[in-house]
Amino acid sequence: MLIVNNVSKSYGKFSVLENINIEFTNGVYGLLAPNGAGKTTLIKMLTTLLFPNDGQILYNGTDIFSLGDEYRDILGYLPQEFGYYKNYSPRKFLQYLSALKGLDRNAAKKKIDELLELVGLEKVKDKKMKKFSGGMIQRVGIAQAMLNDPKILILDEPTAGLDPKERVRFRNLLAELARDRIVILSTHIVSDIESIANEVIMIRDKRVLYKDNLNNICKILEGKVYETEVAFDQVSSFRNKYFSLSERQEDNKMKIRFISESKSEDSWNSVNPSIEDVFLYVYKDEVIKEE
Amino acid sequence: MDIKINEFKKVITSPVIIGLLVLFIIFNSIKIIENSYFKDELKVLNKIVDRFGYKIDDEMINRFKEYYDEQIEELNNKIVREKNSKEYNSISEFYADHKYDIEEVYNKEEVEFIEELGIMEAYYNMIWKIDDFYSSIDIMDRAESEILKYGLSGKAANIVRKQYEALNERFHQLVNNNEHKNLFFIGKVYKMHSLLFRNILKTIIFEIIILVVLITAYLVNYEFDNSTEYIVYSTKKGRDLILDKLQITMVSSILAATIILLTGLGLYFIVFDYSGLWNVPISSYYNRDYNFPYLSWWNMSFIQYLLFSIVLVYLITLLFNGIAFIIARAIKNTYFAFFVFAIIFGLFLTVPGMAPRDSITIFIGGFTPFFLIINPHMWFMESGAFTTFKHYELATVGIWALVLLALGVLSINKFKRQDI
Amino acid sequence: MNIILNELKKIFNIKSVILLVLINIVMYFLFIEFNITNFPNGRPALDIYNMFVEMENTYGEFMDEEEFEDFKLKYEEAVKEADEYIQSRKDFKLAGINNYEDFANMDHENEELYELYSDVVFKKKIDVFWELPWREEYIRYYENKEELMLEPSSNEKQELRIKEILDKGLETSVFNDVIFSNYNEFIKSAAKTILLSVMFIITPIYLKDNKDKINYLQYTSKTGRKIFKKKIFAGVLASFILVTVQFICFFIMYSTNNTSMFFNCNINSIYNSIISWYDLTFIQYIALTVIGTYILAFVFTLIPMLVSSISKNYITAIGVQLPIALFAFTILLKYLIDYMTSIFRFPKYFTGLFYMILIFVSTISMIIRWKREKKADILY
Repeated sequence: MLIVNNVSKSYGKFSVLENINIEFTNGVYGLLAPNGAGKTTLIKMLTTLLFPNDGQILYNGTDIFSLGDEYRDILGYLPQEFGYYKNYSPRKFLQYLSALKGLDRNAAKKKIDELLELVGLEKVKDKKMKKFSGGMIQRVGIAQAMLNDPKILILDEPTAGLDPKERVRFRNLLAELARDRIVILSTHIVSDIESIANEVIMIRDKRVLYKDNLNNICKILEGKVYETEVAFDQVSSFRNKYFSLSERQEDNKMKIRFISESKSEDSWNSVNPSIEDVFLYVYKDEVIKEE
Repeated sequence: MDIKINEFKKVITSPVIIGLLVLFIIFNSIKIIENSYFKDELKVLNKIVDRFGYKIDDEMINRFKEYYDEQIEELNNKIVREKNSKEYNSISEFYADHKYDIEEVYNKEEVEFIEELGIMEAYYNMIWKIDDFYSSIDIMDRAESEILKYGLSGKAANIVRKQYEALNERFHQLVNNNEHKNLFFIGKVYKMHSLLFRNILKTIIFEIIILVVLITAYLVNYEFDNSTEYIVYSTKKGRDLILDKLQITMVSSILAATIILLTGLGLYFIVFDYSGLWNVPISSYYNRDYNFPYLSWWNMSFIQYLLFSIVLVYLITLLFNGIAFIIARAIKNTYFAFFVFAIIFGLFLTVPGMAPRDSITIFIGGFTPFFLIINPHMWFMESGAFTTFKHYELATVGIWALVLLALGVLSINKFKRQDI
Repeated sequence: MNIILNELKKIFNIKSVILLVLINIVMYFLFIEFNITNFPNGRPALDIYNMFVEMENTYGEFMDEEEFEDFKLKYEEAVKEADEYIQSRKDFKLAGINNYEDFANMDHENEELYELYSDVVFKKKIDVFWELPWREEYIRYYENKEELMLEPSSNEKQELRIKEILDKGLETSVFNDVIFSNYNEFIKSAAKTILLSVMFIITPIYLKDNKDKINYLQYTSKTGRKIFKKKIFAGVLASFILVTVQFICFFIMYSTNNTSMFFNCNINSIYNSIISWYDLTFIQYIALTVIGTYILAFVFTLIPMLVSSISKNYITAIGVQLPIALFAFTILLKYLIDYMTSIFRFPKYFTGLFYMILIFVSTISMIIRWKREKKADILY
């Protein structure tokens, strides 16, 4: 069990996270927040790259910074941006990293071949990575995160470079892995979370706003999400009255999905709120602030 | 224009470049001040020139002699008479008698008088040596000793002879013009020419080159180093940006060169007073620092020589700017680019020496900017077997400017077609 | 250790190695080659060298009073040889030069006589005429050795040391400045090349991984930030390997100078240009300069490491180290390697102390840096 206990982090006078309290157990957690909300900061603290100013992060009761290499031994991390050695092949790169991860050489060899097959790179395992596409690099990243069979797998925007087919594949992989480990997924791609996350964590105003399963989170907007069609010249005034979630052109009209406290018109259709709706709703102030 | 200003900002806000610039200025200042302990002695020459002018002709000699004789009389009558009864014909005689105790026997004013007269005497005595010295100079002899020194033979030796023949003509012209008969700081004692044009100017040139290479490699590969290449080179300006970058490196290089030259030479001429001497021909007999006198190919005054040298420094700056640009473009990694530059520099200095000693190829290696900056104190002058060509400096700069232009164009075109 | 081996491979990557070789080749031809191919450098260096080889052969490591008599005899023989040569030439007879004494006293201002002189010395290059003036000098040195040794001393400590040398008779050692100064020029240039190579190969050690964000993956692995320490070891090991390889190559070249017969001769000879605080033989001096270079290489491994771990880009790393490098190559080498242990340069324990201070400061700085890195936020 991984516990974040009253953790705060600031850079000088600028506070990023305050009093964060989260408990992680086995399963997939989706970390959802706009950029700048502190997602990456939280992740970097979980991976020991940053040190909290206040509070502790405990793994099975012990502070992860005291645990040191014992903690990192069970950690797998895929950063949002990571570097690699252009002149190395993925195999050589994974060998380099497995040494750092304290894996036995021979065991690592086997594992590397398995992982490369798992992410679909077995055909290019000895080719130099400078020839790889972004998606291929991303897959190398996923492979290295799993080298040491981690108990805590933290992935920051893991499907960013993947095409839809690869994303599905990845989702399936994760779902299987999550059975006996903690998986923390930080992403904007809602469909990733929708299909596999057990719980969603939303951070707002430097704190944890929600930590709950998808259903419960979507219930926040139960009965408040509608769809209707509006003539083009009336879209602007419509937006001023109601919070628009998405807009689509259909049959010469604008189909708008929006939020309203109650059903004011019969023509409106009540729809089930999705996690994306909740995201837009929860962070609408911040979105408007930026505009 | 904004784009250019932004590129320029990248250069001037780099703390390393500014830091090195400041360091170089400080270093140069220390160097100048360290070497200035004799600057008061130099003032004696300014006084002489004030009185008699610097041109040594019969009239000047007479006036100088008159004055000198007067001073010796004063020495004997007013100063020495009081302490002992000996009479001296020169300060050197005087010094021979008074090896140690001058300050104890004579008061401050008198000591000053003696020392000044001693220095004046040195200038005076040299006048009589000029004709003999220059008639003993055999230019072709010098050519032969150069040929011997470097073990040249065959065609190579002949080329040297040919150049020195041309030099010989110039030498005769020089003597006829009496260019050598002009007062200047005594080179054998003060070595002012070496100080300014070798010690200080060479250091300045190397500092400029270091800055030029750093600035150029930095700016040219900036986008790659900061991972902004995808964004920047897909804009409207796109790959044309490389031309702006080149322009700004040129501007920055010239600026850096100007700052270093200004502060360095500025301090130098503040410390060392050259008033009255700006128009003295550089081939003056007095200027000689070592055994062979400085023989310029043209009748140049000191100020002209200085200005031409400065212009040459600027041209060299631009040449190295071009070399750095081409290397930085070819070798994307700025770290390796820097060392490749250093290696190429070294190669251009060592490989020429490996050419066979009897073929003309041995001279080709001398016509490079790398070779050119080795002896700035011998620009436009006789300078040994490998660089004594009337238009050596011009030819080197000209050829390399064309070559670098061609290579530069190729490099830029390659970039325009290159995958990023 | 596998990790350290991997880091070594990264340090000695193929591109860097190629550049390293090129740098060494260029440095060799620019600075070192002269001291190898032009030894002894011209005349009378050649003659002095030959003279001392003969002396070492006949007298061993020292020339005692008895052997000195023999040396004087050799001089007389040489004079006879010169006499014979002069007498064999009519033009000398015509000019009134009948023996070597006349020759040595010739007025060089006289054109005719100077012609004869340069003919023998510069054109025909007759050995004995190069040798003789120096045999004379060295005889004079030996006869006045106490005085000459004591002359340059400027304080009591130096005087005491010189007296010590005289007591032990070390000044009669068969060793000469021609050999010694050549070695010093050589080792200075070799040290320059070594330090430059070390700085070149070490500088990317932290910069590269930090720039490319590989440290994200390294620091979150089990090894974690210990990689920083492991890199220190890898770097020092890499330098050691590099310096050793370079020294092997350089000394193979130096061996072609054929000075090994002097290895056991004491350097405090009256015929040499150094007076040392210690009773060093030539080979011991060589060893000392090699050790000194190793120490400097160690220090100049830590310096680029420090710079590498704080710089954000290569230009900064180069710009900061450039003045350091220039300072090291000119001033540091001049005082710490060139004519090491000379009594005129520093007091007795100063050099050793200075080396220790260098080691201490650089090591402490690195340790502080390591401690900082353990607790630092990885922001970029």
